[in-house]
Order: sequence, then C-alpha cells, then structure tokens
Amino acid sequence: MIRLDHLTKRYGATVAVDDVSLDIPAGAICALVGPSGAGKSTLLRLINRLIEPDGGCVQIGGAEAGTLPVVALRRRIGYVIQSVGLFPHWSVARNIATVPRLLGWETARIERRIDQLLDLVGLPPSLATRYPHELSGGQQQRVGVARALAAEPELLLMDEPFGAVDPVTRRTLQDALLEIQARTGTTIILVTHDVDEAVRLGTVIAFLSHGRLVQAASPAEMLRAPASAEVAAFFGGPRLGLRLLQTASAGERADFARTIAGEPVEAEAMLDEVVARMAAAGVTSLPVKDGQGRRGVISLDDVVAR
Amino acid sequence: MTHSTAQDGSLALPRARPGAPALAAAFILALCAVAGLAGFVSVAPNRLASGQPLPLWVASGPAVTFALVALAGLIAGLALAPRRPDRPLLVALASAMLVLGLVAATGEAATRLVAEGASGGGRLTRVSLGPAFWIWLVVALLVFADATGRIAALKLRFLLVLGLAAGLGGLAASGRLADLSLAREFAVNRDIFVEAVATHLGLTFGGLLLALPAGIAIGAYAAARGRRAGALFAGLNLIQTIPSIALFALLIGPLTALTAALPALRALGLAGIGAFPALIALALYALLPVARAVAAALTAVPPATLEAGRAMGMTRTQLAREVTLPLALPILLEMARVVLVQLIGLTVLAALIGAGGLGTFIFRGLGQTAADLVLLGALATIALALAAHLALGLLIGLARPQGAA
Amino acid sequence: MLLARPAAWVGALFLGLTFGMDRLAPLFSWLYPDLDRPVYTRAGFPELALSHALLAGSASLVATLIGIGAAVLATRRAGRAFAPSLQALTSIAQTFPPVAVLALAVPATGYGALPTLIALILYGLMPVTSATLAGLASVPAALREAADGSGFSPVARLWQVELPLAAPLILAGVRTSTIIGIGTATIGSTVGALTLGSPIIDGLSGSNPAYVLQGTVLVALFAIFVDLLFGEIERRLPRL
Repeated sequence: MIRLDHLTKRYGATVAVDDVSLDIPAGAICALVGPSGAGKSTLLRLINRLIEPDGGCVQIGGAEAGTLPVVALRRRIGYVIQSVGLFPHWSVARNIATVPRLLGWETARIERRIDQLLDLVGLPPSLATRYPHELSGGQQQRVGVARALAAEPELLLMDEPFGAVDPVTRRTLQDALLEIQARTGTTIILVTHDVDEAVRLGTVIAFLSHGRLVQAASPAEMLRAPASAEVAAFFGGPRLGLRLLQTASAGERADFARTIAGEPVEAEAMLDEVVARMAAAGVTSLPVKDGQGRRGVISLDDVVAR
Repeated sequence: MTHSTAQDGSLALPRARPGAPALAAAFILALCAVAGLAGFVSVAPNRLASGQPLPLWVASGPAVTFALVALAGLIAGLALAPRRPDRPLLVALASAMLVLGLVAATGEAATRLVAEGASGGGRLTRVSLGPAFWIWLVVALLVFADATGRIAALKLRFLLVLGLAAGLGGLAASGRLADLSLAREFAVNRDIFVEAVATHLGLTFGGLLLALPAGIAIGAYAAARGRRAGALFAGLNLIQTIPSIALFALLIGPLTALTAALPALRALGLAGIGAFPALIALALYALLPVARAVAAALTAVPPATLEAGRAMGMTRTQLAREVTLPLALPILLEMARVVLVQLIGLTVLAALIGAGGLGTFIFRGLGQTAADLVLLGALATIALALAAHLALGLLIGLARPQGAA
Repeated sequence: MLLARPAAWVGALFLGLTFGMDRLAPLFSWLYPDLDRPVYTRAGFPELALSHALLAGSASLVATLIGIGAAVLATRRAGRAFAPSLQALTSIAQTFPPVAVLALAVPATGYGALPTLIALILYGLMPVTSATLAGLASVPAALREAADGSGFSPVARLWQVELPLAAPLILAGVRTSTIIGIGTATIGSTVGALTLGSPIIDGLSGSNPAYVLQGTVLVALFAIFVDLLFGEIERRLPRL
C-alpha cells in the first residue's frame, strides 16, 4: 500500500531522514518509534508532503506521491497531531466536515458522515454544535481522529496522537482506535514515544535512529530478536521480556482440551495480565474462557513458550 | 505608550456580568441632593457678562423638577430592588429617558428665559448649561453605559445606544434646544463646523491610512522575528512617549526644509505647516499600535492549527480565508478601535499647526474665553471618539468567533 | 551601573539643555537669522521645567493613589459589586481625548494650572485603575487561597501577596499615566499653565520657530527621560 523508497531529507549538514525504505501493507498499523530526534515526525510529514524529500520517493497505492497534486494528495490522507490542531472558531461538526467540504460533498452527505463519525469515535451527537474549547482533552483528540477519517482516507498519519492525554484516557483512545481500524481497515502510520503504545497498536514496528531505519518487524519479532543493543535498550533492556507478554493473548496459548476450577481469565487478555493474575493468586495455571463459552487452561509454561 | 491597555469597552464585552449596578444607586442618591442646589442653567444678559446660576426648580419649575427627580429615584430603586433578569434593560431605558429629559428641560428653560429676557428688553440673553446639568448628565450617562454593558444581547445593546443617540438628535433637530447658547453658537458656525468635522475625520483616517503600509510591514517583520523585534517596538514606543504637541511641532522644521528643497512636493500642495506635518505626526503615532496588532494577529493562530489545515489539503487561499483571517480579525478590529480613538483625540492638536479640524473651535474658544465654542469643539470630539469606540465595539462583537473563549 | 544606562545620558542632556539654553543663543541666531529674540524669555527654562515636572508629578501621584485605591476597593469583597462598573467606566473614559478633557475643565475652573491639574488627575486615573484591576486579577486564585490557608489577614494578603505580584502591571499603568500626564501638561500651556509647552504654543502663535524648537526638544527629552527612568525601575523589580 505504502512504499517508502530510499527516502532522504537533509537540513543543512544534518540528515533528518537517511535513505529509508519501507513497505507497509494495506490495513497495517505501522508504529514509528525511536529516540527523540530520530526523524520519526519528519518521515511522517514526508508522506503527506508537508515536507518535500531531498531524495527517494513515496508511493501510495502504486502512484508516486510526488507526482500527484499536493492538495488532492493530502485530502486522501488523514492527519492527527498531538496538539490536535482543531480550528478554534469552528464547531465540532464544522471541524469534522473540513475535508468533505474541501472535496465539495453535498450537505446531506456531510451531515450523515458527521453523525457516523461521532458514533465511530464514541462521542454523543449532542457534541456536534460545541466548540473545541468546551471539550476535554480526550474529546478533542477523538474529534481530531474523526476529522482525519472524515473523507474515508486510505491512509491515516498520526503524530503522537495520544501523547497529551492522561494514561487512562490514552488507553481508552487506543482501544477506540483499534476498534475503528478493525471496522474501516484504514492503513495507519503512527509516531509514538510510548513503547507500550507501539507494542499494543502496531502490527509493524519501525525503529528509527539518527534518521536511519534500524529494524522493521512485528512487535513479537522485534522483542524476540532486537537488531541492535539500542533497539533492545529502547524496548526495556533487561525487562524487554516482560513486553513480550504484551504481544500475545491468553487464548492463543491456552489448552482448550481441559479445564480447572477457579475464576477464569478472558481469552482476549494479554499474557502480562495472566502473569499478574498468577502472581497475585500464587498459582502457576489459570482457567481460561473465550467469547464462545469454551473453557481451557493456561499454565506458566504456556505463557513463556516461544 | 498611551492608552493601549484595557480598551475593552462596555459595548464589546461579550458576556453579561452579574452583580447589582450598585454604582447607579449610590451615584443617583448622592448627587440628587448636591445637583439640586447648584446652577442647572445660567443666564447672562449678553455674551460677555458673567451668568447668573439658576437651580433646576427655578429654571424649569416644580413639575419638571419633580418628574426628573422621580425618574432618578426610579433608577435608584431599580438598582436596589431584588435582582431580576430584565433589570439592566429597565435601568438603561430609565437612564436614557433621564438623559433626554435633562436635555429637553434645559432647552425648555432656555426658550422661556430668552422670551422673558426679550420682553424685558434684553435681546442678547444667553442661557448656558450649568454645573448641576453636567453632573446630572454625566451620572445619567454613566448609569446608562453601565446598565447597557450588562445586557447580554449585542444587538439590543446597540439598539439602546442608537436609540439614545437618535433621541438626542431628534431633540436637537426639533428646535427645542435652539435657544441654548451652545445651539446658537452652533447655528452661527454651522458651515465651519461641518467643514471642521470633515477635516478632522480626513486627518484621522488619512493618518491611519498613511501608517498602515509601514505598520503592517513592521508587524509582519516582528511576527516573523519573534522576540528579536523588541528593539523595533522600543523605538516605536519612544515616538509614543514624545508629547503629541511636541511631535506635531517638531515636524514643522524638517518638513519646511524638505518642501523648500523639493519643489515637486510643493507642487502637490504639501507644506511644512498645515495638513502635511499633521498627517505625518498622526501616522507616526499610529505606527506602534498598528504594528503591534498586526504582529499579534499574525501570531494569533496556533501553529498546530495551521499545520492541521495544511495537512488536510487546504490551499493557501483557503487557509488564509477560512482560518487565519477569522481568527485575526477581532485583533485587527481591536487595533483599529484603539488607533482611531487615539487619533481622533490627537487630531485636535492639528489645529495648532494650522491643519484645521475640531481643535480650531477649542483653541479659538480658549483664546476668546468663549466657553460655548470650546464646548462645541470638545463635545464633538468626544462624540466622534465615542462613536468610533462603540461602532468598532459592535464590529468586534460581530466578528468575534463564537468558539473563542 | 546607572551611569552607563541611556536614562542617565538622556537625563544629563535634558538638564544640560534646561540650564544652558541661554548660552545657545548664538546657535539659534545662526539657525534663524530673522528672529530678534532667538531664546524664549517669558520664563526661564529651569522654571518651566520645574513647573512642568511639579504639575505632572503631583497629578500622577494623586492619580496613582486614587487609582490603586479604587481598584483595590473594587476587588475586595465589600466593593466587588462595583468592579464591573469601574471597569466599564475606565474603558469609556479612556475614549475621552485629553485635550477635550482639558478644554472642558476650563469653563468650570478658569484658566491656569488648576484646569490642567484636574484634567491630568482625571486622565491619569484611568490607566492606573485599569492596570491595577488587571494586575490584581492576574494573581492566581491558587496563590490567594494559599495565602488565606497559611493564615494571612486580608490586609497582609493584600500587602504581602497581591500587590507585590501585581506590581509590574501596576507600574506599567503608572508609567503610562505619567507619560500621558507629561504630554497633557504640555498642552496645558494652551489654557495658561506654565510648562515646557509654553514656548511651543507661544512660538506657534508668534511664528517663532526657535521657541518651538526649544520647547519641543526639551519636552521630548523630559518625557523620554521619565519613560527610561520607569524602565530602570521595572528592570529592578524582582523577576517572577
């Protein structure tokens, strides 16, 4: 879906993005991580051409982005930033309608779309007439996501979208994003500082350092086989293994052929939660139940199995 | 560095404010007594003789006195009465009526006193406004302004102000005030007065227009430079520090030399004295507020908002029209308000260097000890400044984006 | 070092010119050879400067005291009902041009220094009042609560917490008020007050450009000097 081909961006003597090539399949969530100044945001902004590259190119759905009219290109790409950047003088509805209006949709279609989107991001319809300053940080961020998704973009770029909200809200917003992505299938590229967020949301994680792409892999692969000491340190150093527990769920490791007594864990629960439950209860195996009512068992050996 | 702070006038305040208009009650009650004793109008047999003050009940009779005092009492009672939502409106209406009543009463008294004087053989009887009238008027106007400011609906506020202005205009046009010395002075000078107002406005707007290009350029530079533009603003501030009359006079010398050296300028009708130095001085004064407001307007839009707009595929024009302009407009209008009010006042001094305007009346009046001439010029200047303040206040209220907190 | 600051230089230049203007007579004769009397003689420049400074200074002092007092009262519990009125009043009153206020004071008080003083005080009040209101409003509510919580009396809270925190804004208001005062006092010579504006007005009406030049240079230097002095005081306020 997205192909970054030898993409390079220089600012004077410093190379912000250095010869980065990366394929992101349609429907993926790609988390760009790395230390501050690694070039993550620059890379993101090269994709919707807020910045023009010095070398290489971006291909979106087979077409080279550099050859498309920039305004039309951006209207096909959703963009969400940490400070949200909602237009303070427009109501929530008008904000969400930004791109559809730019694209010249009919009023009725825009209104339907606003209702759909408010529902999609989990906001009550009554909020449509409010102004950004009347909303909480989390609500503003949801409106930001709704605005970015308004014209059904094939690609959604997010620059630390949940960086400025409290941990509980961040978690809720992450869940909401996963749900939205499952429903819309939009490809997402996400810059984040938060390792847990990258592991939780990413189907692919791309690690950048000094403008270079160090490693691109699924979260589990990256945690099992970090390409360098820097990557390993970034994902937790000696505690990196604990993050591995966030990459699989109880249902994936449980044995549904048998069961034991006790309060069961949900099959969707991640392995870190399973270990936490075991540690709290002082046991090495727990019953599991899934959505269809099947029951099974997960043991510590299953948890740490590769 | 003059009155550029807190120009947020009562008409532009977007929200209704709670709290009793206690000021109204206190003022009215205290001043009713005082103002009742001093001269309401003063009668002189001619322009040169000093007047004899007449208190309200002598000048206007018990009926009018009673009516006015009752109206004042009503306002005080309303202000002290338990709070109700329409109280500001009622107080505003009552105080507007009090203003009109006071003015009508002076006109009525003048007509009667002039007729009495004529029957007594004095054909030059002059009736001028006394201190009690001014105290009453100022208090009533303050109460009106205060009450109007507490009304939430912008349009209603504007209607009230417009209504009062129309009422006063109607009174003047009806000829009921014609026997007041002020009105006579106006009648004698009508043509010069109209011309002076036109000159005054011409100088004010001319100065502003002249300041705009440079002010916008400096403001844009400052916005781009951020903090480093401090020295530039300090320089402009220095100009504002120089007393206005000195700046006007200071320009005469260099501009005389300039026009002497460049015959082309003289051919354009520019001279070292008159409108040319006045316009330059006014423009210099306007430079700082214009530049400041432009800088503020240009930095008013958060960078994240602009980036979001760009990233969403807005063209430059769309971004300017739909985002930057609506967010910057209230700041620019606020600037226009401060500058216009300041320049209208400063233009008075243009008369001292021969540029004309309403200052002509003030300084001629001061020179001839003719209080009515001074009054004519000063009241007209104040009226112009207030009109600019209120009109731009309305525009600001309309332009203010609903979403802005 | 104060001596190295522009305020010191401008001040020295102002004083030097005030006391040495008579010696510059040859210069003015050379500049304006047609004039019989090239240096203003109706009063000495030191006298004019002193009178100007006294007029502006005393008006500024009175305006500052009343202005701060009114704003403080309007922000106390007892006077809070007056605060919106006071704010509306100052904002409306600021639209009144200083010259008009000055001119209106003449019929009421006659010519001379008195109408100037009245106009100066009335006009000087507004910047101080609105600046003090803004300054007191800028004190964070949390700090006021903290002061109350640590057992400050209302007076102690005002003196030790609110006024010091509001000081920069109040000082800016006093600065504005004083500079306007110096400017308005200059115009005061049109109603008979003896100020540095007198040479300007007499020069303009008597077609004597030398007088105009002497008056404008001195009064401009005076205003800039006072403004710079306020700048020095502001620099010396503790940074918050």
